[in-house]
Order: sequence, then structure tokens, then C-alpha cells
Amino acid sequence: MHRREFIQLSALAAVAAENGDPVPQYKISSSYRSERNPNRYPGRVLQSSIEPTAESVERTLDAQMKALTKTKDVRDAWRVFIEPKDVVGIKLNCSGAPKVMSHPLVVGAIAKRLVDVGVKPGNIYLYERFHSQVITVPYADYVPQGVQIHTMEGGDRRVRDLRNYDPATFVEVDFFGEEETRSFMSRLVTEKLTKIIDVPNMKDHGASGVTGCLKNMAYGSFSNVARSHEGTKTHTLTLIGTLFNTEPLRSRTVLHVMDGIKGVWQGGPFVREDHFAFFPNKLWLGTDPVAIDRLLLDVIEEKRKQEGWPSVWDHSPEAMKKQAFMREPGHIEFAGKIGLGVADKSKIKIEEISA
Amino acid sequence: MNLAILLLCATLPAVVDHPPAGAIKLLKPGTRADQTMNASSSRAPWVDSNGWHFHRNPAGTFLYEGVAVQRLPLAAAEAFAYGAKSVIQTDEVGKAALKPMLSFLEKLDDPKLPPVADIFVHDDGTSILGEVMNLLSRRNLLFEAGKKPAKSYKLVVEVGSADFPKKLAVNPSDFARLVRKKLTDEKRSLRIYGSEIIVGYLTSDGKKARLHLLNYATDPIESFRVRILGDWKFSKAASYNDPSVKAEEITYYEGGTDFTVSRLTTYAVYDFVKK
Repeated sequence: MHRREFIQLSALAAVAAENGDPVPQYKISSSYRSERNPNRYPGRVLQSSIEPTAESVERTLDAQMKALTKTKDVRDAWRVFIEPKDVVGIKLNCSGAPKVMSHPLVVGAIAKRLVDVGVKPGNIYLYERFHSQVITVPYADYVPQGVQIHTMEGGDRRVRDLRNYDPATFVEVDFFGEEETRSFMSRLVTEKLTKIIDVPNMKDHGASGVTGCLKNMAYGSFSNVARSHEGTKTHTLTLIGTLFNTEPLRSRTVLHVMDGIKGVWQGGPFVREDHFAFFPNKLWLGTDPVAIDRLLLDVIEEKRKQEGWPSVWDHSPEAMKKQAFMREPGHIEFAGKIGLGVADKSKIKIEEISA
Repeated sequence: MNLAILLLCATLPAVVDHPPAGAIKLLKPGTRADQTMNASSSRAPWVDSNGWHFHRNPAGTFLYEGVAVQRLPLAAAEAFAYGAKSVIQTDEVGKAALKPMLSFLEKLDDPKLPPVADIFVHDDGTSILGEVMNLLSRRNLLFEAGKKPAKSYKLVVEVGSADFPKKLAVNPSDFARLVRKKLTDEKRSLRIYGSEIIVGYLTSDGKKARLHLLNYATDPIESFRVRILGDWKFSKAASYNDPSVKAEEITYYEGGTDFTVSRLTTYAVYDFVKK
């Protein structure tokens, strides 16, 4: 066992003891060491209102980047995170596509700025798990020519295919007696990418309560994750943080851009009924996935309250009539406890940026 | 219909005129399309395999009858892998479909290695225990069955014992899960990751090992991972209709040898020697 694995497992055990709730017996196989502390600005979240236009998105992203890094030139801001030699992944969220997904305007603005600081378009990869979802969104029309689009699986979840996953980097755990006990990390993440930018949406999630920065990276970079739910029980509480904390995913994910142009407040991650979608028209930026997700939790809770729906924390029989799983929004706090960021709202600093 | 009957054993196939008396009728091997497409609550596809029949009656003679033409090569490979004395009843079209597989099997060497079994099942002959053994086989939990164990095993399963109460055998799937839990995954000699449609059969004398892999789907399975307990060095492989096959990306993790199979058509054998 590597030192980092030991520390990670010790942290899980400590959290388990604190909660009095047994954490599943995770085993982590990874030969990768932490490459950097990716959370350069813990607890800081930059917030702006935007319009769904290229001009508004680009102007806002530039202003946020400069404010986050306290630089005057937007290229200098990006250089804090990215070098020209980097191979950069932009982690899309397309689980609800084509109705809700990482907006091509946001993805396009990020890709353009990467090229501006010298990253070759061929070294930029938009990536997601399922091809069938990504092809519903015209990303190629929004990014510089040569930017690559990579998916790990076709999209038919009955057909498993591990070729795009790293066989030596995995999280092993038996939740419900399932035979498939390993979740393998994307080969793109382990073998090609040197940096990753996470572009989630503001979404409710039927199992994890909300799906934001943490879940987009964790469940979107590993195979065989749907097994964490069975009956009404879900292990998203601990699996999300455990996957994200596995190297090299953790230390290569240097920036989170929460695309709040369109979100889902019920039925997520999909838009099962059009009226469950909403339009916060916000853009959040930061390096702290836990802090951003903690704020996301409030946004989804507030919207559900307005609409007269149960809280994502509500496991009462009445609430369970409206949902499949006992949701686990506590996964955000869990991620904070294992060192992925700041979950305590009193320690999160929201900076309003007007572009 | 012009019927031909092929007698299969681990060495030479032969043609005979009629099914031998007392032959044990087998399932038509494969997956059930309807249940593959609509996964059960366990999300596991429904696989019809016959490994447990061969374990239950190692000296028996078995009959494949009415197997669809495209599944005949799988039937031949299944019987061959387990070294079972089996008969396939088919017509001239089926005979032609079988020819390439029989030719492939004929060319395989026979290292004459004994089966690896982690579990011994006290076989009471009941159909429920038969279904338990079927599930153990399909889940790649290696076992032997009989009246009493002739050697030591990692786990002995006896329905009605304190560890395996009779009332639990009412649900064979849960019972098979219990067997797995008692054995523990760490002690399993064989694991397959990335497909629940492949059944493996491991033979070894401790110095050499041969792994038989059977694909019960109609299409080839792309890219899955196999783990064999112990430190093994890859020696050679042979795969039906795929001459380029080998063990790829071999890693050693927690006392086991893991490797990738990038493509499995219907049947392949992988040979290893002890490191």
C-alpha cells in the first residue's frame, strides 16, 4: 500500500468513526502520487450573473479569472494554472444532454483561452463517459479547430468496455454483493491529461442530492459507478469523495467552472419534465469543488422549496414517494472531511464579480 | 431433417448415429436476449451455461439438443473446456457451422491439468442446490461437488450446516452470495471484471495454469480484465477466430495476477507458468 492510499483510507476510517456509520471497505489501486495541491484558493467562490451569449460568457470568465488570481491580464490569470505544454481535459457534464449540459458557450470560452496561452488545440480534450450523450451537443462548432472530443463508452450501459479505462488505477469496493467490484479510472485522465478543468451544471440528483463539481469529476471519470445505488440505498455519500480523491484525478483537476446558465431542480441529472429545468444564469469559478458544491446545495434547496418539493435531505416516507433513493447530499461534507475542500459555509467566501 | 451427432471429449470429436442412452440433457448455451436486454434487479444478464452439470456428474455423458446454429461453436467449446463427454445433435448445416470450432479445438494441446476449486459443495442432488451450483459457476466461483471432499478446500458448503442453514437455500442467488461472502473475494482463484457474460474455468497443477474463457454472448466481448490468484507469468494463448490474442497489461496486485483480454470471440485458453 502506498503512503497516500494509507492516508486516504485512514481519513475514511476517521470519518466513519466520527459519524458512527460504517464506511464501505474501499481499496484503492493507484501508482500515481499527488502532483500538486490543486486547491490553490480554498473556500473562495467567484460568482457572476451572465447571459447565454458568447460575449457575456467570455467577458465574465475573463473577469473572474483575473479576480481569482489577482492578475490584470487574462492570459496571466490562465498561466497560473496552465502551461503551453499541458494536455488539458475539459470535463463535460452531458448526463442530461441535450436538455441540460455543460453549455457549449462556456466550454468554447475556456478552450479559446487555453489556446490563447499556448496550449495546442490538439492537446485539449473535451471528455465525458458516454458518446451517445455527447453527440447530442454541437461542441465542435464552439471550440477552436483541432480540439478533441473523447468519450470512454458508447452509451449502452449494458455493453461494458474497459478499453478506455486504466486497468491498474481503480477503486474496489463491494456495496451490495455485486460481482463487478472495481471502478476503473479513465485512461485519458491517467495517461494523457496533465490538467483538468471541470465544467458541471447546477443540478439536483436523485441519489446524491445535488450533482456539481465533485460528482461530475468522480462519476464522470470512472467506470461502473451506477452500482452504488440499489433499492432506495445509495453509497454516493462516500463513493463520490473517494473516487475524486484518487490520484491522479485529484491533483490534476485545477479549476472548476460551474455553468449555471441552465439547471435542474428536480429529477436530475436528467430533465424528465421541462418544468423541472430552471435558468439561474450564473457562473461560478474557483479551485475548491467542495465550497462550490456547498453553495449549489443551497441553490437547489431554495428552488425546491419555492416549488413546494421536499428538501434533498428529506428521507421521510412522504418524501420517498417522490424519489427513488434516500439522497445523500452529505457527500459534500464528507468530501470536505477527507480534505477535498471547505464545506463549512461560514468559511466560504463568495466574491461577486461584475463583468 | 438429416441429423448428425458429434461426440465431443477433451481430445477427438467423433460422429455417431444416435444419442447415447442416459445422456444428461443440457441447456442451450448462451444469453437470453429478452433478459439480457431487460436486466434483472441484479442488473446481471441471464446466462445459460452448463458448467455445473459437468461438476455434478463428472463421469456423465451429456447431450446438446436443438442448439441454434450460431450457438453450436459455443456448445462445442463449453464441453471441451470442461473435458466433458458430450454429444451434439444437429443437422448438416449445424455440422458445417461446427467445423471451424472443432478444427480449432483439435489443434489445442492438452496440458492435462486438474481443475482449480476453492469450494467443495456437498451435493444432495436437489434441484435447488443444482441452481446454487449453476450460479456459483456463472459467477466464477470455482467449486467441485460430491458426497464428501477428497482433499482440503478453502470453503466447504453443506446445506443444513451452521454456516449454511437450509432455509437460506430457498433463494439460490442469495445462497450463492453467501458462499462468496464466506469465501471472501481475496481468496478467489479467479475474478473477471468488465463482463458478466464470460465464464472462466481454471486448471492448474501449481506450476502451470490454463484458463478457459467462454463468451456466452453472440458478439465478441471487447476489453475485460481477469485476475488469477498467485503470481503467474504469461506463457501463451489461443483464441477461436482470433490469432493475435495475448494477455495484455499484466499487473500484480495484492497477491494476484491481473491481465486484460482485449477481445474474446467465443472461446480462448490462456496458459501461465508460476513466477
